Amino acid sequence: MPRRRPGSLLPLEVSILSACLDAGEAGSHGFALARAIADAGDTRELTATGTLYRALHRLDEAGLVENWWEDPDRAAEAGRPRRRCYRITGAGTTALANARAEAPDTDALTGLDSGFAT
Amino acid sequence: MSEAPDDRSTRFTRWWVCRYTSGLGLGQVAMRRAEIDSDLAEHRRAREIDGWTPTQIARERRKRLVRGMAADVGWRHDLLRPHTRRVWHVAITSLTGLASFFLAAFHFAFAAFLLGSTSVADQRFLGGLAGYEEEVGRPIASPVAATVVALLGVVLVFAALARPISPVVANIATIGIAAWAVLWFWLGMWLIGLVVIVGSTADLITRMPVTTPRQ
Repeated sequence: MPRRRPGSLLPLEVSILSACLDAGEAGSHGFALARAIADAGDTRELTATGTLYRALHRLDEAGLVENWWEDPDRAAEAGRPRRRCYRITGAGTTALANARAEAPDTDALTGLDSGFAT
Repeated sequence: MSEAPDDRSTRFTRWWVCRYTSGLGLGQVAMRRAEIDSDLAEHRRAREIDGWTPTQIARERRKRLVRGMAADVGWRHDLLRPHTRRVWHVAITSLTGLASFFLAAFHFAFAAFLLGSTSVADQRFLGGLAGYEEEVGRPIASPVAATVVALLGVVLVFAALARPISPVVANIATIGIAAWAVLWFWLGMWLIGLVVIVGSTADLITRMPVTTPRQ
């Protein structure tokens, strides 16, 4: 797979940032982002687990999203494990806008297993 | 009572997460496992609301897991990359690698002086191993043993790409490869040179930035 240009975003990363932008200040957890990406692409196939979380890790490392762990009391009340939530940052919003300007159709690419992305 | 399909897929997912997170920092391991556990729970809850059966849920979960396995290994490599690069530097790469190459060459020369069988072993490789013991006066076990040691050395060097290993171990591996080169002179020198070239090229390529820098 060809190495991508420094500073560019993969289609999956654009999809994740779009989903985070739609989620707003409240943020969204990983599975919800996978569902949002599938819904946006009008497909039932969810993004692969490893692909999704690796992309989230890279976006977090690059400062395009920020993450936090849900309040444990809230999770306990709901009877489920704590969620790790993600929210787009200002830099992420800018990067997303730039990516959309360069390639207007990238939001249509969903559920891509970019497991070999570099 | 047999295990439910989605419970089996949960166990399989957790087993895989344990495999590719082994050897990482405790904090990173705990966070990753907790995040995947949350994903499993959210996935089940969402699909139960959608009216899916446990079998359908398990099938989708397995598909998501298997399709992302390469990315899981890539994530692990992303975390280990700074460490493996340091070990790779010590073993065989770029300018530091040249120093390691000369270190290996020194050991090769020293071992050649001790064993004194390089040209004969070279002929044996080209002409087959028949008559080796008679001509050299030494059991065939010595070049075979050296080959086994060198193979172990190669495995150790490539293992450095997956997880951090001690620089001392990495250099011992280089010495093992050099010792093999004593008995298979021309083939060994050619392979060592090839590994240095490939390692240096790979090191230069991996220095290229791939993500947007923080703003």
